[in-house]
Amino acid sequence: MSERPLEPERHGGGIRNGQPAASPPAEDFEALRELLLGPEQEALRKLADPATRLQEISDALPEALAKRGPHDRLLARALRPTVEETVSQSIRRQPQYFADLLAPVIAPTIRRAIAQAFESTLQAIREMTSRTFSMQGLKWRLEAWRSGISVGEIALRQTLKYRAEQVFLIHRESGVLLQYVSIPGAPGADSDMVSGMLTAIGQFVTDSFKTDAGESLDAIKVGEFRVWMERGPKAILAATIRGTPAADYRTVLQDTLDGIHALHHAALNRFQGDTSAFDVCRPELEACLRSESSVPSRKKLNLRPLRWGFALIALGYLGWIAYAVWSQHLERGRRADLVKALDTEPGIMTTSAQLDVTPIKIRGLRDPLARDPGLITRAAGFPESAIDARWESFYSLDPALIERRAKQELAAPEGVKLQFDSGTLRVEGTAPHAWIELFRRNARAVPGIAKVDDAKLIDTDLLRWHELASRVEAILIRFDGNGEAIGPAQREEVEKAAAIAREAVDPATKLGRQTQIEATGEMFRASVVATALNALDAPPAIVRAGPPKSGATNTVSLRLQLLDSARER
Amino acid sequence: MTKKKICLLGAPGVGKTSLVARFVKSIFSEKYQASVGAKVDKKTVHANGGQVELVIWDMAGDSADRISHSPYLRGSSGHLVVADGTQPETLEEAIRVAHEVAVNHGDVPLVFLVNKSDLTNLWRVTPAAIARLAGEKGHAFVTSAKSGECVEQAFVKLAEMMAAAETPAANA
Repeated sequence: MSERPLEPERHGGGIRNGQPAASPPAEDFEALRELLLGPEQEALRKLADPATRLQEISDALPEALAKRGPHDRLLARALRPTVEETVSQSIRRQPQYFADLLAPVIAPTIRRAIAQAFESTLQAIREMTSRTFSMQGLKWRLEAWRSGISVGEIALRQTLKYRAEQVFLIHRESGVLLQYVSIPGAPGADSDMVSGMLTAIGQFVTDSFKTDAGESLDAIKVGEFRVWMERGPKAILAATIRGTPAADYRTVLQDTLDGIHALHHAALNRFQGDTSAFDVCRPELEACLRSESSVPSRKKLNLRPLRWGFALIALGYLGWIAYAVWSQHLERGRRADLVKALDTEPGIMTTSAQLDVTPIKIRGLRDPLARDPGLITRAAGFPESAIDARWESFYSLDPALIERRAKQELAAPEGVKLQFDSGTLRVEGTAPHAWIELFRRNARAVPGIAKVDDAKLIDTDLLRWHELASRVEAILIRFDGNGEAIGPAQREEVEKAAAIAREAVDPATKLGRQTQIEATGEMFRASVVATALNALDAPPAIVRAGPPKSGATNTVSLRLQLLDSARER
Repeated sequence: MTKKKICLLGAPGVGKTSLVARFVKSIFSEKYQASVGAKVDKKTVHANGGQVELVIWDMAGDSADRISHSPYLRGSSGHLVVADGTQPETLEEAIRVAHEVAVNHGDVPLVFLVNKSDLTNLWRVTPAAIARLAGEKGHAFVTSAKSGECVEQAFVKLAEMMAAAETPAANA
C-alpha cells in the first residue's frame, strides 16, 4: 500500500506527454485508475503519510481531550501514571525551579497550617484538661488500666465514629487476594485466608439463599466490626471497619472498584495468579482507609455502685487540689508574715521581696547595730536555705537604734543610765568628771540626737570633794584660855585637817581645779594654824581674820576652798 | 508472587481436612469433625523454579454431583481429589468427582490422593485400582495425613502441573 502512490505519478507523466497508445496495457490501466481515482488516492496517501497523520492528530487532540475530560474520570486515570512520572522526573531534575514556583502558593498555606496546628494543640489541651477531671476521663483511665491499652487508644475508640482498618481487593472468581492495605497495627488473621473466607462466605450465602441475580452478601457485622463488600464483574473490594461508617463510605468503595475495573480490566481478565500487576492499585486502596471521629455525647450521671468509685476518686482529686491550694495560701501568708516581721524589726527595712519563688528572694537595708535577720527568719521557721537575702548597710533613726548607738559610742560607765526619747538623750546616775566631760562633748555627734539632758547626772569627783570639805569644816582648833601657841591638842586637830585636805587634792585635780584651806579667827592664832598646816604637806593654807565659825575668840575654824584653775593662774 | 486457588474434593471422611492440617501446619488429630462449607488456608511451595502461594480451599465432603455444582470451585486453578484406601468405593466416587468437575468447571490440573496409608490393617484397595485412578489423570499418590507420607509431594505436584498449564496461556 505504501509503495503504490509512486506508480501513478510515473505513468501520469506518460499520459501528459501524449503517448498513451504506445503504453503497454498494464500502464494504460494504471493511467485509467489515476484518472478515475486520483483524488481518493491522494486522500489515501495523506492518510498513510506519518507527518500528515501527526499533524491531524495534533490538531484534533486538544479538542478530543476537552470533549472527553469532563464526562468521566477514565482519561484522568489513564493519564495519571504518565503525568505523575513526568512530574516526578522534572522535580528530581530541577527541584529549585519547582520550589520557586510553589513557594508563593505554599507559604500562606504553611502559615495557616501552623496556626491551625497551634489552635488544635490548644484545643487538645483544653479537651484533655476537661476530660482528665471529668467522669468520662476517669472512666477511660480505669478502662486503660484494666485492659492494658493506652488512654489515647481508648479515647480514640470511644470518640471514633468509624475507622476503615483493612481493605482487600479480591479476585471475584477464585477469591485470591489481589492487593491488601491496612492501617498500622490492624488486627486480624492472614489477609489471604480472610480474602478466601470472605469469598467462600459470599458464595455460601448466595448459594444457600438462592438470591436473585446480582444480589449478594454486602455486609457482615461482628461486634464493633463490620465488613463491607462491593462486587464488580471481576473483583470484590472488601473493607473491615470499626464502628459505624458513614453511608457515603460505600460510594467511596464503589467508585474505587469501578476505577480499578476500568483501569485494570485487561489484568483482571488475564489473571492467572500473578498479583504483582495490582501493586499499582495500592494508592486507590489506601484512599479507602478512612476514619471519622466524633465527640462522645454526654450521658446523664448515673451513680450506680460502680460509679461511686469514680465519684470518690473525683472527690479525692478535688480534696487534693483544695489541700494544695490551701497549703499554698498558708505558705504565702507565712512568707508575708516573715517580711512583716523583718520590717517591724528596728534597723531593718526590706525594699523588695519575691515570695512566690524558692528560696524566697529578699533585698533591703540593715543597720549594723540591728538584730541579725537570720535570727528572725529562723524564729519564723525558715531554714537558712529557704531564704536568699541581701542587705545594704545604713544608719537607722529608729529611737531604739539611736539609744543603742549612743550607748555603744559613748561607752557609759556603770551607774549611768542613757535613755532616748523624742530627740532628747537623757542621762542619769553617777559618773566620774572625766566621762561627764567626754559625754558633753560627744553626745550630739551621735546621729539622731538633737538635745542632751544631764540634769540628773551626778559628778562623783565633785561629790567626794564636797564630802571632804564638810569634814574639814567640822574641825575647830581650840586654844586654851589666852594661849596662842600650838600645843599637843591643837596639833592633833591640825594634822587631822591636813590629812583630810590632802585627800581632797585628788578629786579637785580630777575636776581640773586646785584646793586650799582657809583658817578663820583672831589674826595671830589663825596665822599660827595656817603656818602649822603649811608645814604639813597639805594644800596651801591662807589666813582670814574674823570671827571663827564657833563664835569663841580663842578658836580658829577651817574651810576647804576650791579654786578655779584659771583664777589660780 | 503467584497465587493459586486449589480445592480439596472428595467423599466425606476421606481425610481432606487432615491432609490440609498436615500440609499447612504439620499436625494431625485422630478426632473427626465434619467440615461445613469451605475452609480456606494457604501455604507457599516451590514449583518449577519459582514460588507459588497455594490458597487451599478445604471443601466439605459430598457426592460428586453436589461437589461439581458447588460455587466454591469457581476460579480454582487445580484440584486434589481425595479417596480413602480403607473404603474402595471412595475411589469410584473420586473418579466421578473428577469427571463431573471437569464437565462443569473445565479441565484444570488434578491429582488423586488415596489417603490413610498408615491404616495397613484396614487397607482394602489394590494397586490395580490405584493404577486405574492414575490412568484417569496421570497422577495418583498414596498418602497418609497421620505420617505425612507423600502429602507434600502431592501438593507440590499439583503446583507444578498448574505452573506448566499456565505457561502456554501466558505465551498466547
